[in-house]
Amino acid sequence: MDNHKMVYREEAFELLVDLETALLELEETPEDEELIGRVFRSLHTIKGSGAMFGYEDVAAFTHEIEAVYEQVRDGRLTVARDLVSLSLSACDLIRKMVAEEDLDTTHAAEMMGRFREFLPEGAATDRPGDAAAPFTPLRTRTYRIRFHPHPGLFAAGANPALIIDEIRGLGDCEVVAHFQDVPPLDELDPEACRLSWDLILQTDRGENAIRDAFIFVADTSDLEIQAMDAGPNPKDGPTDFRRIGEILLERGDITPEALDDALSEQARELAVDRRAERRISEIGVVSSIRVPADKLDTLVNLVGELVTVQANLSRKGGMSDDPELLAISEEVERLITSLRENAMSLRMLPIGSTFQKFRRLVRDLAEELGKEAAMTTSGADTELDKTVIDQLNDPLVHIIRNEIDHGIEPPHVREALGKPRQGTIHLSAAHSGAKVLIRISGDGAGLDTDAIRARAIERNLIPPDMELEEDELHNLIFSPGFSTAKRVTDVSGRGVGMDVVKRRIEALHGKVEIESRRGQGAAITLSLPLTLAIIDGLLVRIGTTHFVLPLSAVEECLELNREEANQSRDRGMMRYRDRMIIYLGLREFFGIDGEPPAIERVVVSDIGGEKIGFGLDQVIGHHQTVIKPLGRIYRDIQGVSGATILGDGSVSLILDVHQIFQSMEGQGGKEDSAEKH
Amino acid sequence: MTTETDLPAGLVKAVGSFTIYETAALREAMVSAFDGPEGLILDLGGVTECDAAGVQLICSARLTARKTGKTFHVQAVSNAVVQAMEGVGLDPFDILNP
Repeated sequence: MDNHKMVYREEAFELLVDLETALLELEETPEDEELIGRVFRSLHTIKGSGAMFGYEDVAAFTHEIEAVYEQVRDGRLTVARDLVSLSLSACDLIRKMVAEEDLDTTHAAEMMGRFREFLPEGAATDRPGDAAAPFTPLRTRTYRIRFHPHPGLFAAGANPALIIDEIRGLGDCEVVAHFQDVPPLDELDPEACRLSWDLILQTDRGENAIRDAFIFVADTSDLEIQAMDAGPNPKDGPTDFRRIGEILLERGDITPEALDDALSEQARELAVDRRAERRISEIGVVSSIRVPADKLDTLVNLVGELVTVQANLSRKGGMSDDPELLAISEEVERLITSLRENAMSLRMLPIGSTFQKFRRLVRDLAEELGKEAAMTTSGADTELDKTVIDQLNDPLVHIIRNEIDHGIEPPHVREALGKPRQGTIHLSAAHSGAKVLIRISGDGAGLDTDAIRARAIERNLIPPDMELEEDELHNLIFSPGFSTAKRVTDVSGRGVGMDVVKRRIEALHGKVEIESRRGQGAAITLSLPLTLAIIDGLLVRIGTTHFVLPLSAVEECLELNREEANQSRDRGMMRYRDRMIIYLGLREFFGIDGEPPAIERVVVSDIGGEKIGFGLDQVIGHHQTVIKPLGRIYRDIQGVSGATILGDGSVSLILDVHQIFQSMEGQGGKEDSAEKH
Repeated sequence: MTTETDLPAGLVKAVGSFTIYETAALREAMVSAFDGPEGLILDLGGVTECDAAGVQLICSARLTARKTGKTFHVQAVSNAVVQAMEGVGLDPFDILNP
């Protein structure tokens, strides 16, 4: 796909998230002019850029919605729940259009029709590209528009001719172009815009319509719009002077340049301010750049390689007697540590945008289930690795769905219980050491431990006479296939949700904890590593091959003598404290030749509440593991999630204990397919 | 875009696009022409596309001629150039003629 289109897509998806957030907030405060402006600007940008990049369907469809919100902005229509609902559905449709998915055109046409119903009788909208037709014409006024682009205007891809053309379309317009700031050829940077314009426009479309024309150049230009028949603008100095100047200009007694010079003289102090503002805005423009995620991944990979080389250098430096080499190696180590921290921070994103997406989910689900729920957030600026954030979406959806479906009570029940009609789901994020804690709490009914117990017995998850602590009962909801829903709903799915959540979070080297108080609500806390690019690992050896086990999966290390090890191998089980747990010899699993040592080591892992012991030759110790992805050919290998390079340059595979467990149990395919439902 | 130059005569002929993407190369050619004794003769008859950056470059050439006292003569102009000037609110006659 062409790069520009890709950038448009990314921006459109971001704008749609922002639009949805603004719409949901607008539903709460329908009179908020700033929110109305935000909705309108998002729509206008999606429409304008859509037309520019060949998404004609997006432009045409968005134009209809924009026309309705133009009514809202001009105070002729009030935002109500039905308009917000329709607009949110429209966001979904636009998202599909931008993603170039197959569309039901009848549905799109029907939705456009529903938007038109919000417009006054007989009003029609023009095609996009033209501004919307005035439904109730405003008073005709004359505006003076001073358009002073920044030098970066051309480079930003803006075409002033198109803007001027759009202004001309609003009414009678006189354009005065200034080129006195254009330097001679030997001083000219041909890509820097040195032209500026004054436009005198007579229109009944209002100032907002004029501002809309400049919406794409707001960051790369200074714009002043003044109604000529309005009161004086103190910025322009004495009113009489301005009027005389314009009269002289109209009579042709002075040139526009001379008028401009005189006005500049009057506003010299203001010009200083303006220059300062411009400088600040220019700094703002370059303060962030958009970089494709794969470039950042490459950078992090390269830094990972450097870390490995540096480890090798430090080893050599330590072995050598050369103090100079040692000093160099220490300096390189310091620099690389700093470089690694910087490179990792580039991939960190605030979790806020992910949180925002769920406002819509909460609203829609609550509506679907006849409940009332609102979402609140805190710690939205907490940063997490992009990869973690990307993989967090599905687990959070499952948790929120479950909370609304099973936790939040219907409004009349809540009222009877003395709770507010509207339930609250609170999403929070906070750093805790090298972990991020994401907590999803709801003020619903909390977990019904009696129902959980009954269900677990019915599903043969626990024997009927088994005594369990309350938190153990709570944790049963993470068992595969568990569901306390009396009826199967589209919302909470078919009881696959919470076990999938636990597996997904564990696959991210994280943990899930649940707290619940009957009648007061429940909270699920996800504890996640800041990044997936480097993990804490346990370096182990089988024969001459090294492997890394993620430390988060390690519970305990044990030893077995030859006899115990042979028994465990034969039975596939081993004794662990006072019970039997699954045993798997990694030597056999990976088909590594050679004799096991007399004393075999076992690493015990907890996988979804199930203990499993992995037999191996030697536990070497803690290892900061820079994860390298496996190539395409090795991607489907069971039991391995990646590789890392050790200090001596040799490659070590990182074990995926969950996958090993699944492949042992033969559950891989089954659970995967369940997850997709 | 192609640029044909006959620098001893000061001729710079632009063919095709005359936009921000081409202005850097055209500026070089124009500066070289002004370095000569004759000044610049610009042939814009073959320009098929022109934007505000192109128009700005022509304005700059006009100002250079005024500042250096050398000749600036536009010997041919295409409709695309005229429309670009009108589009940004400039009178082509003022810019193209001394």
